[in-house]
Amino acid sequence: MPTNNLKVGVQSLGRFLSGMVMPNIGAFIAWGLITALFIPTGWWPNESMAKLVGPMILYLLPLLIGYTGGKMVGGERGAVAGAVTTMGVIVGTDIPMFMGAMIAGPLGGYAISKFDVLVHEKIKPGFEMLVNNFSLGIIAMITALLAYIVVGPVISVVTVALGDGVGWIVEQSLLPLVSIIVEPAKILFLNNAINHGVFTPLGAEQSAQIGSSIYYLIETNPGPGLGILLAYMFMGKGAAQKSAYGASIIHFFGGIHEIYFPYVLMKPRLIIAAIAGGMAGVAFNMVTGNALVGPPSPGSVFALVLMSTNGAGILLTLGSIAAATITSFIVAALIMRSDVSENVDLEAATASIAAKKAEAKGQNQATSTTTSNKAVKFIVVACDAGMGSSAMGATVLRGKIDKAGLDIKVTNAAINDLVEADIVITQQELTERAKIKLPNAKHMSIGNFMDANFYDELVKSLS
Amino acid sequence: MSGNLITIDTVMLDLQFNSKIDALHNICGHLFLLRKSQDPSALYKDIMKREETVSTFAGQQIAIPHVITNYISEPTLCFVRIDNQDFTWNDNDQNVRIIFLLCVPTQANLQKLRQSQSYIFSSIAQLMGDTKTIDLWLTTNEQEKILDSLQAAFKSNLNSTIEE
Repeated sequence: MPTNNLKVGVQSLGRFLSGMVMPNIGAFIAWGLITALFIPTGWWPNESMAKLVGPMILYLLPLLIGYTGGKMVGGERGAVAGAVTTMGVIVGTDIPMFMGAMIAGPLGGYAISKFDVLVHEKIKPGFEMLVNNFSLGIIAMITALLAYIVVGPVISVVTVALGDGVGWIVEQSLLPLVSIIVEPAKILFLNNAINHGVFTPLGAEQSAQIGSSIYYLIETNPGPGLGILLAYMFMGKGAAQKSAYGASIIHFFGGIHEIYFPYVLMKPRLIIAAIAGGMAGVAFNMVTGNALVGPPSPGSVFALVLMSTNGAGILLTLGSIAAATITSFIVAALIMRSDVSENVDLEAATASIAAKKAEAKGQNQATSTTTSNKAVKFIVVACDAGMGSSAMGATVLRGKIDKAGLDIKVTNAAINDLVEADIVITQQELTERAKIKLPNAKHMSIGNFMDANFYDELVKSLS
Repeated sequence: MSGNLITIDTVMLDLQFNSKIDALHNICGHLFLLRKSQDPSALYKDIMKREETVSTFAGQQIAIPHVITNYISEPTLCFVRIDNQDFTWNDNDQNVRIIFLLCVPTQANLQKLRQSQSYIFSSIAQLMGDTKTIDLWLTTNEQEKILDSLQAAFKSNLNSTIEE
């Protein structure tokens, strides 16, 4: 059981991280497009438009992540507290603070939700608004200051240490191993710090002596990221899969690597794929002696080709990108496939437990296994207590179903008592719980359980 | 099922409350005075816990707080009419004039308990479909009339909804 718990723990952490990032992918893409178009080395350089780039990545994107993270933990109030707390992390450093936001946001949300539980019922009627606003303000102020004081210095230490580590590996002539530091650092949005702080100076020194340098090719190779995005396209699910197409174009042709970082943060194990891809690319360039004449910026396939040495250099650069892409894709695909089978295991386990329960109660479990394509025979309106909202909802729906002359059984139940149903109707807040309890049924969310329009639509769709 | 589910004593008309909290506090206190609850503040806490999970606002100016609890001696339904026109359940668009509060003592077999109590709100839902009944609930000054409307519905539902 402990391994199972660990598995569930890792999965729910992954789901939590992706929950913070996925709703904001659109903002990442907006930023990526603006960057690819308007920065000095972009497609359509424009100094004035490019002013959007810095504030968006430094403030907007981390704040959105912090806001969403806070909301997941503490609702609307948590969201506001999360955003304010994230501000502390942002101001505490001068690099984009995505990891910081992913910690600070939920922390802010948690603090305010704890406070709300604590003072609940103790507020005098009429003072709720005042207490709510000031408590949120004061608590968010404290968490923001905390984030500012604690996180900033920690990040600076980490950045310096990473730079030192890279320098040491280079001195030891173990260049491919440098990916072990570079790739995770990129995911933490330290890519510019590493590239411009370490590799560009080293590369400039080397190319001054021999005309070109391999250092320009280490952090800028778009292969590892492309491999991961390709893996999402072929093996991924849901929104992550669908958005991976657009992301890969911005990443590979636009050279905006930041766009794939969230996809790794969603499934932290994919960092192994990025490292493997990075190592393959560096190794390829070491063996073939390939190098670039100047720093490619941004790290797009076009910039890399432009900076390649003449003749075979272009082919070799493309070769190193291909090597990195293929390696990263294969590793990422393997990781994602093992994740998928785990999910299947988990779902199978839940289903078999539900089936066993049904069996124990002497119910026919065949009806609850496959419901997607067969006619609806049994609708359950479910709620927490199983005797209030659900009883009323079921009564209203039953009346409408009878009126329409449909042969469908409608009952009510507590979510904990759900055993079988073709359709389960719950209030929005409870739908997730109901899905866990009865994964095979079709689930519908209702705002207010006496909402006649909802039931009318449902009856219409059933008849 | 019990003849004591709702009595004249638990039909309360035209009370002045400022908020949901205020109303539920007072109703719990009333149940204590009726010797239906030994510990009204614990009862109140249980009711609020249920409210936090998801609101029991039912539309049509009606809310249906309900709870399975250790702090009530027998299944008890209260009908409470609020006099205050500004009274809202959670948000501004949730105007409430009538509160149905159902408290049911805990039993070993929760599932059976829930099924056996479902007829109550099922009946209320049916009555809510009838504007005449709602008008009666909102306007009459005779507690008996409200009591009769509810008990007639309970009686006709009691046999049909249980043991489906």
